[in-house]
Amino acid sequence: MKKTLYILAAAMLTLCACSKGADIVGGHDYYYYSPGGSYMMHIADDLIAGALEDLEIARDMGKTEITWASRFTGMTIIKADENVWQLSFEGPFDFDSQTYQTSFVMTATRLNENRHADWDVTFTGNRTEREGYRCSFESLGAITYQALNTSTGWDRLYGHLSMIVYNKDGKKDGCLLHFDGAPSEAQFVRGL
Amino acid sequence: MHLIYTMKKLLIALSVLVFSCGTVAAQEHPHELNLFVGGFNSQFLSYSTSMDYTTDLYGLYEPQTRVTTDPALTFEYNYAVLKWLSVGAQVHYNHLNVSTMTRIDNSYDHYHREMFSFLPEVKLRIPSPAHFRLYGKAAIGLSFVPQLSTRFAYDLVPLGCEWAGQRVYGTAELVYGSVIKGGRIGIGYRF
Repeated sequence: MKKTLYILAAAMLTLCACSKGADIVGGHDYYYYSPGGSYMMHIADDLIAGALEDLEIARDMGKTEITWASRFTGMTIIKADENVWQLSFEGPFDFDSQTYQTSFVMTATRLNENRHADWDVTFTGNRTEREGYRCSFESLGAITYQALNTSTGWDRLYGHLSMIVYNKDGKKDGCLLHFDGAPSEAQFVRGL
Repeated sequence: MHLIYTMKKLLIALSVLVFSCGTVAAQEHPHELNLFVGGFNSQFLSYSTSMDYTTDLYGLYEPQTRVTTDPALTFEYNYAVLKWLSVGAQVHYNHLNVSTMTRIDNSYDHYHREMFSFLPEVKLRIPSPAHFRLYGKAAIGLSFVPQLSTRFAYDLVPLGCEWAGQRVYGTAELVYGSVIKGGRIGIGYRF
C-alpha cells in the first residue's frame, strides 16, 4: 500500500514541477513560490537544518543540551553512536514570524567531518497552530543534507518530507516535498 | 422684575411654537416616502476588506473572503401616528463585490451578490423649526444575501434632518447600524 502511494506520488511529481526557491538551507535565505512548498521548506530549513546547526555547535562544545539562547533552547542531544545523535525538542518555534508549539525527535547520522558536515536525518514531529489547525511531519526514510560549500550551509538535499495537515474536522490534506539536489528544485505535491 | 418674568414666559412660548412647527407638518400629511443613497455597508465590513496573507496553516487552507460594497439605496415609508411619532419600514438594496482566495492552491474567485434588507422602524421627531426638522430613528429586521447569508440587522439614526418644503423635501442622516454605517442623503415626499 505504502509502495503504491510512493509510486503515485512519484508519478504526480513528474507532472508537477511547480516551485522555485534558493539553493541553500540553513542560511534562511530561500524564497519558495508555492505556499505549501514554502511551508514545508520551513520544516526542512528552519526546523531541521536549524537543529543540525545547533547540533554542530553543541558537538564542538561537548554539550548534551542547548542551554544557550537559541530557537532550540531546551533541545536535548544524546550521542547514540560514534557518528549518530538523537535530538528531541518541544516548545514554541517560529516559522516566518508565526510562533506555534512545535515538537520533533530526530536522528542525525554524520557522514563526514566538514564544517557543515553532510548528514542523514530521519525525524518525526508535529506543530499545533491556531483555529484547530495542526500538522504532523516526518521524513520518509532518511533525508540527506549535503554541503557542497561547507562555509554557508547545506545546498543539496535528497529524500522525501511528508506532512499531514489536520483541522477541527480531521485530516485536511497530505503533502510531500521531494528533494533531489538543489532545494530550489524541490517538488511539492498535495492532495495525497 | 415682573417684566423680565413675563418676557421669559413669552420667549419660552415662542420657542415651543417655532420648534413644534416641524411636528405639525407630519400630522397634516401623515404618509411619507423617502429615498436615500449612501453609507458604507457595515454588515459586510465584518468580513475582511483585505486579504490575509498569513502563511500559517489557517492562512494557507482557509479561504479568505473580501467583500466591498457600493453605496446602498434605501427606500422608506413612514406613517405619522402622532405628531412626534411615525412608524414604518425601510428596504435597503446593496451590490456586493465578493472575492475569495485560498492560498494553498493559489485559487481566486470573484463574484457578485445582491443584498436586501427589510427593517420595520420607528421615527421620533424632535421639536424643531418648520423648515429644518430634526428626528431620530431606530429599526430592526433582517438582511438577505441569496446564497451567502441571512442576518439579523439593525439601523440607528441618532440624528437626521429634513429641510425645505412641507411636501417635498431634502433629507440627510447620520447612520450607525449593521446595515449601513456613516451617512446618507435623500429626498422625501409627504402626502
